[in-house]
Amino acid sequence: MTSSQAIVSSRCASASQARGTRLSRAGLALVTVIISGCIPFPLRTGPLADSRTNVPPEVPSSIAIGHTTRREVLLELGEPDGTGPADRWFTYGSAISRGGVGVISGAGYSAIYDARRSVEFRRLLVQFDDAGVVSNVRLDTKRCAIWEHDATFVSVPCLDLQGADVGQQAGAAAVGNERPTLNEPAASVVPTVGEAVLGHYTNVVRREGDCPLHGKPHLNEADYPTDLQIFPDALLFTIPARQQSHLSAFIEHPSVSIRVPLAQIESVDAVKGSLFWVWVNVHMKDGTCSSVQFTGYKRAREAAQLIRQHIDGK
Amino acid sequence: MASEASRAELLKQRVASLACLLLLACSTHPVPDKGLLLFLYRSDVTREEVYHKLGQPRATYERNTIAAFRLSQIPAGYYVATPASGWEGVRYDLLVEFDAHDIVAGHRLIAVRER
Repeated sequence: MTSSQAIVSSRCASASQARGTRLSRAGLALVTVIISGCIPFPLRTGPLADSRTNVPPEVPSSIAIGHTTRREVLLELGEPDGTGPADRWFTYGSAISRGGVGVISGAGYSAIYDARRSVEFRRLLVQFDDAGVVSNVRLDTKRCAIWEHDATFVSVPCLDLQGADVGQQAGAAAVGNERPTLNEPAASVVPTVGEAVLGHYTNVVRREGDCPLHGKPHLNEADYPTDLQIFPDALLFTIPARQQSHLSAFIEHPSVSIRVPLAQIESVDAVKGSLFWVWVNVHMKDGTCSSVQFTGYKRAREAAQLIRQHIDGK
Repeated sequence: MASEASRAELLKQRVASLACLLLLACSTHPVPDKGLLLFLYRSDVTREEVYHKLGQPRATYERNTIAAFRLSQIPAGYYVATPASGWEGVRYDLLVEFDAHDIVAGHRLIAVRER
């Protein structure tokens, strides 16, 4: 065998070895999928099924404060997604999926679908004066994780495309540039504790009486995300102001916070469930418990550690 | 023997056709029409005629002088969309402007969703 033949032969051997390794990896993945009974798959990117797509990434140059009329805005962008009283403001919103993971798992004779996708919400807000001329225009973009269970969204978007928060703030602030930032929650419920906040976590879901140690939390349509603030002597779960009016159709008192005194907590555990599900189980001294679902294990572990430090000191 | 088999085959075909016919009778698909919007280019089109052809608008604006309709489009033409949620299945937002006498003063077809 010549040296060039030897090189070719060794290259062929290593190529076939690599092919074999790839095939065995694929086979292993397939066997794992079959044994575990769940099929993960990537979610496609692009606008969500019920979203419009004609919301530009920047405020259109054709909309000029003090010049453009409501009629012109309508004829350019179409019917708005949200409107204020007497059409004093319009919102145009789009929700674009930036990908995620879906999982179909078998449960007896049926199949369950779960998904976590990253969604970019874009909202153009146009406000009008008494004469129907644009008085303020702004574009907000926010990206957050949205959870789905059996084709139903179980988390509320981080930006309300219909502008429920605009309605709340418009009542409190005059129309103009000095109005509060729409994405920031308006003055949140004042906690009963007087000390500084130790940790603040958004988009958590608290479920009472549900503390699984593996798998995933028991989801239901009544789940809604809240902000979790950790104070030296209490946990405070609050629905952000921007979501309160949206949730008022489902919850009797969305503005009421839930306060859990740390003195009543026995222990906390961060749980990494199946796939992307992570949560913190909060066990109370009276034997009850609740779980708090997070969007990332790092945050869940950090929050659990923070709570543990302060209940240990009590 | 052969004629019995062919008779059975014929019967099967008739039953299948009848089943298809019954299923089709239950479906209520909108009828797409390439010329759905052509009437808007005529003069003196009244609000009544617009509502008759396109149904009730989804919303009206500017003291009822602008009416909004949601439309879908397939190669066979346009049809009025009735989305289950948001803009699902909608391709265009049609805004029809009326003058003080409820006569069409103009219209704008806005693409709200990419294909």
